[in-house]
Formats: sequence, C-alpha cells, structure tokens
Amino acid sequence: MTSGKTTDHPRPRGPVRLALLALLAPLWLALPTAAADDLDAILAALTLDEPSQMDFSEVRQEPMLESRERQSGRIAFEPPDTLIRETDGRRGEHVRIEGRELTLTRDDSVREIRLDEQPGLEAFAGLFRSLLQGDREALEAGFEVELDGDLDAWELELRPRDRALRRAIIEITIQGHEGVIRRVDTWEAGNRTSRMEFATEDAEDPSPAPPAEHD
Amino acid sequence: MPSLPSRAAVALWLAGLLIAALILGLRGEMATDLGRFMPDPGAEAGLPLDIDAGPGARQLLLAIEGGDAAQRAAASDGLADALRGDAAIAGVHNGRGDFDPEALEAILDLRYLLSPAVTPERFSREHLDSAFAERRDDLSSAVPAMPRELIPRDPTGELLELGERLRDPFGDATRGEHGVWTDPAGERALLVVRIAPAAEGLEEQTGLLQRVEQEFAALEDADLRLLQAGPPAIAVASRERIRAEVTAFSLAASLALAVLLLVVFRHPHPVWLAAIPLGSGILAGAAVVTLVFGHLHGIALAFGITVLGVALDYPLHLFAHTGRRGAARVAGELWPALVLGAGSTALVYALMAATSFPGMAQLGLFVLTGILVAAAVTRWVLPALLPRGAREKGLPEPRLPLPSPSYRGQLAGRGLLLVAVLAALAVLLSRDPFPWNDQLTALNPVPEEAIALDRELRDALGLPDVRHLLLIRAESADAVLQEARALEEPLEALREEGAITGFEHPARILPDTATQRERQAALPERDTLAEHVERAVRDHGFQAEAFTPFLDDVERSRAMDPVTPASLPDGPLRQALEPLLLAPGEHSAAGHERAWIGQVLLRGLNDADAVSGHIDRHSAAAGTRVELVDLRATTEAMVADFRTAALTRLALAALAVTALLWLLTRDPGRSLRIVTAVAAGLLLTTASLLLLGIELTLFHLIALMLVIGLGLDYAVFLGRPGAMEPDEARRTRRSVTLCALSTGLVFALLALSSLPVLRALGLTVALGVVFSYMAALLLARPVNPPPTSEASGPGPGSLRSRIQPFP
Repeated sequence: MTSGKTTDHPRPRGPVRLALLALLAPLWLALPTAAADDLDAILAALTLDEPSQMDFSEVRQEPMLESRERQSGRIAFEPPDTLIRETDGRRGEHVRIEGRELTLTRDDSVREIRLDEQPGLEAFAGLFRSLLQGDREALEAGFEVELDGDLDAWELELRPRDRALRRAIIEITIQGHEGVIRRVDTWEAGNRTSRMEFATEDAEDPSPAPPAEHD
Repeated sequence: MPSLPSRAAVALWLAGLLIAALILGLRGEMATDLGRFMPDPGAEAGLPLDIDAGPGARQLLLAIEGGDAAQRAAASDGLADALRGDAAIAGVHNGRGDFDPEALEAILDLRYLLSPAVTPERFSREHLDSAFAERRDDLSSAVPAMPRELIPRDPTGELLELGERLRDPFGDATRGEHGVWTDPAGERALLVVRIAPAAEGLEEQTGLLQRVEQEFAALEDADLRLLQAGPPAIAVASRERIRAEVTAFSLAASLALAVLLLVVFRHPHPVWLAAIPLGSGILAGAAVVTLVFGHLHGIALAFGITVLGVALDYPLHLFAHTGRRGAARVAGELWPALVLGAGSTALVYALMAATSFPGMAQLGLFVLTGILVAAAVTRWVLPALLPRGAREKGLPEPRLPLPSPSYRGQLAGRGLLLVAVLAALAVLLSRDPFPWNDQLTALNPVPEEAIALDRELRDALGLPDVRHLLLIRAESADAVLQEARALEEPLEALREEGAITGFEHPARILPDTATQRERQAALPERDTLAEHVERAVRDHGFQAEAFTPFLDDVERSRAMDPVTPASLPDGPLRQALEPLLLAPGEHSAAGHERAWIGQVLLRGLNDADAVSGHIDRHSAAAGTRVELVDLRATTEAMVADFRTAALTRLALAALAVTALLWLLTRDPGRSLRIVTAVAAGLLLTTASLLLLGIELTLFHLIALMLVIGLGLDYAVFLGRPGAMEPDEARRTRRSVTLCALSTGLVFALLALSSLPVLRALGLTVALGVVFSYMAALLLARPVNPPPTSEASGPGPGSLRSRIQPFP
C-alpha cells in the first residue's frame, strides 16, 4: 500500500508534508474510482440490447403468514424499458410495466395502474431498468450503491435514497456473475424478506432456493 | 404685504392642511385590495371570497422548471419542506401522496367514522371473507392493492377510501417519476401553496411571495427557475407593474408640465404655484374620505388624482389672466366663473358619491372635496402666496399659440360641429348592443402572460372551476355537513350526465354527526368480529394474532365521540376541510353573519344550466339553501348595475348642472351654450372611442367624467361675461388654451402606457380635451366688437393658430 510506505519515513514537516499529501491525494481519490470501474464493467455486462427472459423462484418471509411463501415465474425485459414479471400457481399474476404504465392481469381481469401508485414496485422497476440498460447514473440516483467482489463474482448492496421509500424497503442485495444476476435479496420493513433466485442456463444446482437470511 | 383677509386665508389654509395631515397620519389606512373597491359579489352571494378569485382565492401556484426531473423533484420537496413552517401558509402540496407517519396515524384513528364504505354489510361474514382473501392476495402480489404494513390494522381497506379523498382537494396533476406533481409534459414540477386566512392582505402576500423566492434561492440550484401564479402572485405582480408605470408616468407628466409652463410663462413661480391647489385638494379629499369611510382605497386615490387634474386648470386661469395686474384682484374677477365651473363639476361628483359602489362613492367624495378646496385655494390663498415681486409687478404674459377664429369662421365651425355631433349620435345609436365591457378582468390590469401562466398551471394541476361553485348556508356546521351529504346524490348524477367531471364538498372530508353515529352502529362487537377473523385466519393461512390491531381499532372506534370540525386533529384532514367549511367568523357574507357556509367545488363544469337546474330542484325538494354561484356573472351583473346607475346619475347630473348654471348665471342662453359644448365634447369623444373599436369599461366612464369637468371649465371660462372685451377675451382664450394644452399633454403621455387601464384613461381624456376645447371655443359667444385686425384672416371653418406677439 502506498500509504504504508510513507509511514516508515520520519514524519515530514511543513511544505514537504503538504507536497506529499498533494501527491497522495489523487491516489486516495482514485480508490473509489477503481471500484467504480468494476461497477461500470458489471453494468456493461448486464446491459441487454434485445429481449431477454429469466426464470426465477422466490421465497418470501411474511410475519403475517403462518408459513413461508414460495413462488416461481419469469422476469422478461424488452428494450428499451419494458419489464414483465409473471408468476405461476394459485396466486399467479402477470405484471407488465411499460414507461409509466403498469398493466396487471390476474384471474383474467386486466387493470391499468399508474406506476407511481406502487412506490415499491416502481423502485424495483427502476432498479432493473437501470441494471439492464447499464444506466449507472439512474442506478446511483435511486440508490446508495456498495459493490463487493469483482466482475466474476459480485454483490451490490443497494439502499433507496428516497426518504419515503426507505421506510418500506431497507436494503436490496444483488449477487451475480459477470452479466448474470444470480440472486436478489430484499429486506423490507416489518421483518419481511424475500429471496429471488434466477436460474441460469449453466445452472448446476437446480435445488429449491434456500430461505433468505435476515436479522 | 398681503392684506389681512388674505393672511387669514393663508392661516386657515395651513390649519386645514395640518388637520388633514393629522387625520391621515392618525387614522389613515390605505386599502389596495380590489375587494374593497368593488361591491363584493361574495358578500351578496354569501361568500367570503376575494373579488377576482373564487374558490382558488388563496392558492399560490408554483412551477419549477429547468434542470432535469430529479433536480426539479428535489427542489419541489426542498421548497415544500422549507415553506411548511411558515405562519402565513395553511398548507403546501406537491403531490407527495404519502402522509407522514403522524398524519397517517390521525387518519387511521378516525377511519371508521370517516370512511363512506362503513356499512353493516361491510362487516358481514361474506364481505370480511372476501376482504381477507384480497389481503392474502396482496401479500403475494407484486402490485398489492394495499401497502402490506397496513394490512394488520385495516384489512377492509378504509384508508384507501379516505386517501383518495384527501389527496384530491388540492390538485390532481400528473405524478412524475419522482413522485411529485408535474405538468403533463413532465417539464415542470408543480406545487400548490395555500395561504392562511390571516395572510390575505396584499402586503402579507407580497411578503410571502418574497419568502418563497428566498427559500427557493436557498436551495442553490442554478439550473432551476421558479414561476409563481395564482391570484396572490397576479395581484402582487399587477400592483408592482402599476406602481412602476404610475411612477414613470408621474415623473414624465410632471416634467412635461413644468417645461410647458416654463416655456409659456418664462418664470418659475407659476410652475410650483400651480401644484398648490391640486396638492391641497388631494390632501383634503384624502382626509375627508378617510373620515367618512374609515380608509382610503388606493384605486380611488389614483383615479381621484387623475380626475382632480381639472383642478390644475384653476391656477392656470389665474396666472394667465393676471398679467401685469394684481393677482388678488384677478382672482376676484375670475371667482364667478371658478364657482360656476367648480360648482357644476362638484355637483356631478356629489351625485356620484351617493352610490352603493364603495370605490365610486370614495372617488366621488374625493373629487368633490378636492375640486372645492382647489377652487377656494386658488381664489384666496394662491394670490397671497405669490412672491412680493410677482404680486406687485404681476406675471409675464403667457406666450402661447392661440386659435383666433373669425366670426364667420366660428359660424362655419359651428355648422361642422353640428354635423359631427349628429354623426356621433348616429354612431352611438347604431351600436346595439352598446359595446360595454363589464368583465372585471377588463378592469383588473393584470399582465397577460401572468394570466396565461395561471391558466396553464391551473389546468395542469386539475384545480376546481374558479368561476362556479355551490354554496350551502346553515345555522350550524353539522347542518351544513348534512346538506352537503344530501348533495352527494344529485352531484353524482350530474357527473354521470357529464355536466361536471368531479366535485368536492365538506361532508366528503368530515361527515355529519348522525352519519358518524350510523357508521359506529354498523361496526360489529368485538366478539362477533373476532369470530369472523378467526375463520379467515384459518382459511387463508394468516398467523393467529395477525389481526389483533384490527379488533382493537374497531372496538375503540365504536366507543369514540363523533368528530366535529373543532375536534378534528391538525393535519391533512383539517387542511382539506378548512377551505370547504367556513365558520361564521371566517366569512363576510352580508346578511348571513351567523351562518356556517359550505362550499362545493366543481371540476370540469361544462353545463352550468344543467347544474343549476338540478341543484335548484334538489333544494326545493329537500327544503335546503343551496345555490350555484357564478362569480363572473355576478360581478359582471354588478358592474353593469353600477354602470346603469352611474349613467342615470349622469343624466340627473346633466339636469342639475343645467339648473345650477341657469341659477348662477341668470342667463339661459349662456347656460345652454355651456351645456351644449360639454355634451358635444362628450358625444364626440365617446363616438371616437367606438369608432376606434374600443369596448367601454368603467375606466372609460371615469375618464368621461373628467371630460365633463374639463368641458365645463372651458365652456364656463370662454363664456364669461367679462371675456367679451377683446383684451380679456384674448386672455381667457389664452388661459383656456393653456389648460387644454397641459391636460392634453399629460393624458396623451398616459395614453402611451402599456397598461390597458392607463391607456384607456389617457386616450379618452386626450380625445375629450380636444373635442371639449373645440366645442367650447366654437360655441362661445362672439367677442363684443366684431373681429379686430388682430384676429382677422382665418379661412371659414378653420382654427388658425399663431404665435401671440409678446406685448
């Protein structure tokens, strides 16, 4: 480490110290940029130019319910910004988000809803859009972003910036490998958690997803 | 050395000025709101509203533009937060639908009394079962109908019912991607600031607007711009604009007048002395109006000073006649003419003063007082104020181009005048309907771009109609709320018919006590409810204790005292109710001081007749007092009423003035000539305005009243018996010409104003000066010895001007 070397020397004084600091400052400032380059690389890998679909399975922990809830379905993305979330089973539904419009199809009934009436979903839609469009600016405008790992195995810790939204969604973490999202964990207020796992084409572990850890 | 009587006059004058100054200093109050100038349509209809605003009277509309959507949204939130603590503000709304936790708690607390959905059926087993099934779906859905965290307390979703109602009253704009209101194009963030009733005055609003600017500047985002609209912004902006224009005009007019007088008299004294009678008249008029009305209205003062401009003629007559003679003697000689002119003008305004139109009554009294004082000051004070040199040696003869028609020329001119007057009459009579413009907007000098912005933001915000609303009057708040609830059905029917697109009424926010008790009675007892809940818990897989908060809330709601306007907690509920329900102390409805007033705001009204008919039938059937108020029609009708009254009074005044002239002159021929000259000037001026395609407003009427005063002045002086001698005739013509020239100059400058009101005044009076002067000159009795060599040579019908040689 650069900073380690300097401490071995006798403490520089006055102008020397200033000069050293001036020299070191760019290095120190460059640290987050190094991480940011990784983020750019991850976003570049995630960016989709053509329609794409991912199968997922989700496990939700809901304190109001007796047992954990499991759902499976698909998330599809159609450039430039259309997102579709479809779930199977008894409470299955089809949600299509295009621009600011949301269409909910459930049990053959179709409802048109303004996206802004669903702040939680709006946040998720914004998140997925910025990831799949590789829009770092939008991502960082909506969330405080922390990156762990590298392109090969990365984890994004995301906290909503919007005050009202923060009351509902505490944190979202996304794990992935290069341009593939593997897992999305969500911590919501009131001890609600969810873990979504995405099946990948080269998936070697088809076993059901383990429940999300939470505190 | 001034004589004893004149010294007494000066002392009396000074004492009068002192008293007037004292009155103004101690009791003076300047009103600037249009509401106190006009008869209040609200007062007649039972409304506490500003004249020009209606339901949106106290709403300031803000738009933030520039930057990107995120910047605008951040600024919208920042500004809203900064303004919320302001004492002058009742509420700030920027589209954030989520209530803060405290406000949410207050609404949750009262939800079973306030929600219209609370009926016995809602808590039946079947309904509860389907509600629980829906909540179970919510827990699995990406698009829950209800926020998950509220499900344990409110499984029947009463908050959803209330949330919609509480969101709507203040706006229904597009909500942009950052959750704040935007215009449809998404290029501006929009906010509505509701001003507290205590901060209604224009001064307070000016202060508030400045604070809004400051708070916005404190956000320090150089990309963004703040736009302000709504009645408060318009009122403040138009006042600033009027102030600036009037200041510029006053300076220009004073300068022009001073230069004119200096050129004509070549002496400084007439310049400053000319201002003394006018100044004294203004001071006295202001003091008398303050004594009688308790305050002086800014508009009455401004127009009063304008109309009082005729008083500037009096000293000019004096100076122009003085020449090398003693000013006091000349003042004595001119006095009969001065009495005649000032007296007849004052008579016109005395009739004006006796109207029910408060601003006009003030204007009339102001001018009446001012004219009489100015005439008296000219007669007794002005000569004594002349510096000794001027007093003893007199003033220089004014040097002035002077029309000197020959006798034959005058006759030909009269012929032309007759033709012109007949033509003018034909123009006036041919206009049917007569092009009056009674809209208050024509009177209110609002910059057009401000109106356009206001309309744009109002549309974007989906604010209720500012022109129409329904009024409910009743003895108590609860009675108003009952009547409002009864209106729900006919209003809903109107909405389905398409006559309106929506409505707001106070009972939608706070139901009457009886309704609340009905809802309490609809809530099941705890045991019964617990039984239903238990089954649901089993059927849908909820945790056993999941709905304990629901059971607690229902039990508590059953035992609560009904909410009243007084017990309603602060927050969104109170904010939503306040503008819709007015306590007796909060409005100024004439004749209904002790009534509570409910306002029903209408959205998207496109068939006022259907609404009015429907509501009338409903009121008749239900025996209630509900009516549709059309603020614009009401004010227009009042302006029209006033106009009719004013015209009737003018006709009366014409008779009275004729009688007065006859009485004072004992000369029917002279009286007739004066009246004819004034009438001719008036007719020609009005016809010219019509030919220019101008619609006449109250301001034109005020200007025409000044034209009457000027016409009387010119005709009276030109017809003075003393003016029959050639020398005196020349002096009189000179003084009248000087008066016409100075007045014409001032008002021609005013006609250049960018403000429609000032332009109307300027153009009308400038035209009036020209026509009245010509008519008076042509109709004046010819000078005794037929034209001397000095005044010979003009062609028939022409008014030849030439430079009067220096004597």
